[in-house]
Amino acid sequence: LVEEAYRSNAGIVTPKFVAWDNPELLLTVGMSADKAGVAIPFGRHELDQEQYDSVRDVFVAPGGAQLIRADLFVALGGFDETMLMFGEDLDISWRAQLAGARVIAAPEARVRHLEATAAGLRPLELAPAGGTLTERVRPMELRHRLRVVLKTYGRLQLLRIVPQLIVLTLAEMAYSIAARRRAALWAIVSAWRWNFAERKGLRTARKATQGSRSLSDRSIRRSQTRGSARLSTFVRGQLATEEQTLGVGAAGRDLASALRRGGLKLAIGVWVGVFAVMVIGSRGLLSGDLAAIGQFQPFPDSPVEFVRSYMTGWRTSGLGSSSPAPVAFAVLGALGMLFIGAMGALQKVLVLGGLFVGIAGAWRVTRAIDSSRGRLVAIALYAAVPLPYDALAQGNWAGVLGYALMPWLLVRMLRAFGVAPWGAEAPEEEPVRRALAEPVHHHRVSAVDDVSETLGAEAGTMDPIAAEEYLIAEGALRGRPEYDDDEDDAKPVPAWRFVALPAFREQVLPVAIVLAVCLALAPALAGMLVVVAAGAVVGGLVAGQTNAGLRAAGMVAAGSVGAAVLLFPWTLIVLLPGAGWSPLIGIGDVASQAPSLGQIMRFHTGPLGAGPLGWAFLVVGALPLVIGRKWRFTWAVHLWSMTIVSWLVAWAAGRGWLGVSPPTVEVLLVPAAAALPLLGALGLAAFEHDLPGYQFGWRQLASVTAAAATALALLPVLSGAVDGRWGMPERDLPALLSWMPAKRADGAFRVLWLGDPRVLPGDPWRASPGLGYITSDDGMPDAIDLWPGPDDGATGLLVDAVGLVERDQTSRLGHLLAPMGVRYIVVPARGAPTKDALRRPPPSDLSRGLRQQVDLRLLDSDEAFTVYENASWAPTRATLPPGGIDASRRTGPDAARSADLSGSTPVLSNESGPVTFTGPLPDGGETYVASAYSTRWKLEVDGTNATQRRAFGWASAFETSAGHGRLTYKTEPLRYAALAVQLVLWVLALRVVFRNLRRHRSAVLALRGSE
Amino acid sequence: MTAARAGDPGRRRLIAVITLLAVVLIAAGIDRIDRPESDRGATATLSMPAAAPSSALSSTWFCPGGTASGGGEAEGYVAVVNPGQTDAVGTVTVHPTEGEARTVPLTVAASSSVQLRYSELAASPWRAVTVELGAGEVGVEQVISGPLGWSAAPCASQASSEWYFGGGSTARENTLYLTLYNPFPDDAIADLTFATSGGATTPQAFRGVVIRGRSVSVLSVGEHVRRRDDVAGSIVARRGRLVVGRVQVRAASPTGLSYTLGAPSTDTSFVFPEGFVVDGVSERLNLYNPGDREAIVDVEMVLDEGVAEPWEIRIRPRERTLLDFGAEERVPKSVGHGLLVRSLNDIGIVAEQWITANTPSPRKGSSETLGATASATAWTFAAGSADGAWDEWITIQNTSAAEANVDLIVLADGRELAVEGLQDLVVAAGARQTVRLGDHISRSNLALLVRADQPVVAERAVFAVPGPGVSYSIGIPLGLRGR
Repeated sequence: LVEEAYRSNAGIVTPKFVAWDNPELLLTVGMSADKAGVAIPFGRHELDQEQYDSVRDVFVAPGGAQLIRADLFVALGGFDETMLMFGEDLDISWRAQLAGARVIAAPEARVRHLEATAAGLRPLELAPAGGTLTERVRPMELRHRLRVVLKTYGRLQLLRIVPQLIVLTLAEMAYSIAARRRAALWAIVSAWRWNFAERKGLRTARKATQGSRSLSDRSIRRSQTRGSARLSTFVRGQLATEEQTLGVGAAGRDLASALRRGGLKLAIGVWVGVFAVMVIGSRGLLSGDLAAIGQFQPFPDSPVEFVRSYMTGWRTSGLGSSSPAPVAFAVLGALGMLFIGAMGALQKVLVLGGLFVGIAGAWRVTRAIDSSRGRLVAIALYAAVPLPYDALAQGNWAGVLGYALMPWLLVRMLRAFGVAPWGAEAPEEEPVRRALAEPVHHHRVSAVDDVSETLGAEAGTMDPIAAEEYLIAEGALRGRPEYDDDEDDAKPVPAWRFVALPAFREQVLPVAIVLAVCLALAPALAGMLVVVAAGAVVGGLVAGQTNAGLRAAGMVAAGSVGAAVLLFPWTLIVLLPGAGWSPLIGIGDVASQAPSLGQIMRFHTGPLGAGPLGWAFLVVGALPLVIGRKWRFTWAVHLWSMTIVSWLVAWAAGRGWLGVSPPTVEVLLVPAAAALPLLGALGLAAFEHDLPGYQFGWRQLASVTAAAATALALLPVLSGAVDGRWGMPERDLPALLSWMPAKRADGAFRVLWLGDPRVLPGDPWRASPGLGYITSDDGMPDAIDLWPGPDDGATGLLVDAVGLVERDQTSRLGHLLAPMGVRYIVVPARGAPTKDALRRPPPSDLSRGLRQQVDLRLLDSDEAFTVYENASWAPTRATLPPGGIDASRRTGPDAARSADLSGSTPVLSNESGPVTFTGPLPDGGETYVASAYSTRWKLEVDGTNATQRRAFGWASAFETSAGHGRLTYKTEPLRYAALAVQLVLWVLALRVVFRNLRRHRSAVLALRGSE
Repeated sequence: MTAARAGDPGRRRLIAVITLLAVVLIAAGIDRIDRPESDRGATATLSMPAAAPSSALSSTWFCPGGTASGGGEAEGYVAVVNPGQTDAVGTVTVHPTEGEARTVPLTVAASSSVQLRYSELAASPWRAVTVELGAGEVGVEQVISGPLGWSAAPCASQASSEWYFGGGSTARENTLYLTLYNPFPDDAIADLTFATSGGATTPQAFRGVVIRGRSVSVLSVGEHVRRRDDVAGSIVARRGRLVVGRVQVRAASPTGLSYTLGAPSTDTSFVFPEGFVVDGVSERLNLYNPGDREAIVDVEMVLDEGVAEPWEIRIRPRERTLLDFGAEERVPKSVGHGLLVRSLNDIGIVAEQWITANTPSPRKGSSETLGATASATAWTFAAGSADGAWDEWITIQNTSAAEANVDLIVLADGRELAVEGLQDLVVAAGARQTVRLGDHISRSNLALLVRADQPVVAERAVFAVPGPGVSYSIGIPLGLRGR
């Protein structure tokens, strides 16, 4: 080292490090580092074949052994005292180079290195106790690395690097959250926190470092590795794999594992292709705004509005009601706070993220299938199903959420079948239960080795979950030898056939929590769950596995019940007799507007559709049914049964044969949309495993046909991606009706929206077959108007009035709606004012009837929508004229018809929240409030409560005098009690789930330890 | 390796595939056979006035107007009939061409009728009225009278953005008025197009005509479509909704005065129960095709005696044609007949019958009537008279395939009078029957209710005795709306 230091005039020289036990194995020959200071060892774990035996410059001389010139060491001020281990070598090497010294590797000098600390042979005293070695070391590594970066770069370079570091850090944090890697998340957070706390020392160190600088950052960067080493490592699937079994993180690692296992180019090609199509197809939505169509109504500017609306017990939708607020408000409020109030971004993530989550789910659910190409077919087909894009284009959030949820639900449900390769019978789970409950047993190590062999994975880097799965499988196999393929009898059991099998009851709770969140956002998914359960039962019957089908259906049912409990008390408004099922689940199509069975079978339900090419999905799905053997055939029967049940339910719903208001066709078709790509994967598995067993004949031809069909099935989504919005209109009604909110200056008002439920902006109530209605306050609806309460109270009066118009029984609708504060009636015929938007004209009876109303002013009318203004309207908070007061003492439509409220004066115009209004009141009048009557409405005039009475039989009127008025709704104490109950339920549920996860993880870590 | 050894499901596969396929095929079969028709799209409009259903909260009628100066050429009044069993209470709102609107209360007792003269409601050259009553099954007719005659026809039970007329004349000494009534709060803008023997024309002055909210505009067509014997017209509101009536004043022989409500939409079949050709009485059929495609129209004459070969007429787009039965040899003189007009290629048209009477006929006058586009089992007439000064006839055309039994009931001051000799009239399937009311009852205010046990069309003819006045009018059907 000394010789080379003189020869090369180097400041620091590092030797070649080899393994203590095996000197032929390289540990490192110097290290490089990227701009973020992530070190990359040269030759790690390579066989030493002298490939690094030349003297060369390196960026980092590893701290295990290095030679530093004494004068340089003194000039640099020695090691940074805040970092005694893990990063001190990066620091001294970097600073040496800044000072103009060379750092070189001299491989002729060889050091055997025990790596005693990393091997656990030497106690690590510098790091806090507790946790694995990685968990203890990682925070130190990260904080030291950050410190080095912050003190070595010049100011200008820091301006460039720090934002990049922040982005990388956030991405890593997001990944850690998704993968539930709490330790990793904590390490990242603590690194920044530590450096912030040490900022004074950092400033001093930085000053010293910059004072000794003789090279520019540009020169330093030339000797660093380009790009992000951390990102590259992630892509290569080399992230630590010590946690959790399910979730997006697992899917990511699973991808990395698949990439390692072969077909690398194909896998990368398919994934990159799918991702590219998703991004290209969504580019307009990512860069622009979501159109305010259907359920994609804009979120309020602040998450606080969601929270306030959730806390108060008053729903403003319709004419108001005291029904429980939807849990979605709480969910969105909480998420909005996590997004630091970026509500638009949150909405995009929630809507567009569904596409990506769904495809990741398709990858995850096919893990049990022994065909990486089959899995790639599955994700490609799932990405190609037109359903989510049609749902997007029509503002059907439930459809997109269903698409995202379905594969993940299938992961649990297919296991519940207890049929290979996804699951085993419950009795065979016993070995697993023991494995989780007891300390590690020695035999598991050999099991892990078997799995490693089978997977071709490197010992020690195999996913511990896979190892555990193998143990489960092994136990299961003893009771069910028929799981194994005949030809593989003599071999170790392949691990791919089995997945972790927590007990049924343990699986239910996570399912319930996920369903609760999804159902809170899209209650219509309840319809999808019914279809899935029915499909499981029918599949069990057809496949001759009745008990398995019932068990799977039971899983869905139990999860749904659990979700219903978690959503209490909101669930009551759906479940109680006569309650508001229809606006939350859907109000269905009129039979003539519903898609035909043929359209349903090829997912042709929206602007993207699949046209004739949609039949290709069926051709692909037919392959495992005709050539599959063993479990591939059995599952083909199950999945086809689910597909057909999904089709038939969607078809029957369109015809109005279900007897209840059904969800949209997209929601009901989600099970079929998930089952057909799975069938495609099974088909490829059958092609690989079963086809070679047949003689040449029609089956080979069928396989070729299926392959061609797969290619054809992908075409519609490719063409659909061209516009960058998946067919979602670029303009929406709010853009055309932007003048409406300004009319608030004349007094608060309501807008009544009437039309086909699929073109209304929100979740409509049912007015008549194929006709829905919603209301909005002072202009366009927003997300607060979604998930409306029941319309069996005062709100029903709106539909009574509309019914009179439809039945040609009145020409004074304006008078009937005036006491309800309805100023505008908007009747959309399209989902958006563009040619390509979904066209669903309202019933002709309604259009004709509205045109005959002598007190409605026709403001605007074109092919997309018609707007009427009520010439007789009165503000929702007003003092009534004398004639109006008299009329308000009567009830029924005659009272409204005969009342002239056009002279009403708006009052209480200042809003301080959803249920608090203030403003001056005139003398000697009555203040009318066009909200459903409730004794909890209080109007104080200069601090004194005004006397309340019913007006028009359903609203409130207060006897008021001149003064400052404050109208507010006093939330019932019972509401707070209900919220407390709900909170307790969620805490309990999450606690149980996390406890189970911890147990699970402990067992896995123990397994790793024994390994 | 055999298939069985390799785990091939064999028979199970066949059963599963057949089961699944059968389910799909059965559903597909049902789907194909039982495909529901769409009820969406274009707004369906009943192309003739009809009473609101009996369960209606209210009835609204729009009468497009006549003069109201007290001595004008077309002095108007409204006749309101309430054939129901409860009193109808409401208002009449008068919208003059000049000045403020005025609303007066109105009560029509059960089984009775009332009349309101425009000149008594407000002084204005022209005025239109909206009658709103808090009950269903109420009928309203507008009557105009002047030196040249008397004419009555139903008011409009609905507004529309399109109105059509099959005939009219702007020839010398003829005046053709169109009254454009906008009873709604918002303004309407309309374009008027006319089809004449000289081709289609859209005078500049009739483009973008603004009709203010809650007002009536009266246009004299002859000022811009000059000296045309036969003029058909389309009034299309590019914005808003309207009710359009036509007042035709014929000062040259044959003289006459007639009021006709426009057709709010075209239709493919029309029924004219009454027709007659004799010396001094001419009957013509105006056919107008306002659409973009040629219409092929079949005109069938239902003769009381004998048969006449039907006419097949082609009407080119946006053109009109006239069929003069007096000039047709196949039409026997002095034999009563009805007319059935059908568009054979389902292109919507407008059919209007024009009857004139002059010397040597004892009757004098001119009447233009739109055909009935629907049949009903109950019809009502608000105006009419059968006394020494007026001769009133009712014609029933049975449009069903079964024999119809018909009752004629007079609504007189709260009572339903079953007129002797006019009960259980038997009208053969597809045939017609005409009765002269003066032979059975003498009454100057003769509101009528016609009840039948089969769908029929009822038409009223009123002749002034001796002096000018010929008015043919289809009745107001009950029970057609709100179904």
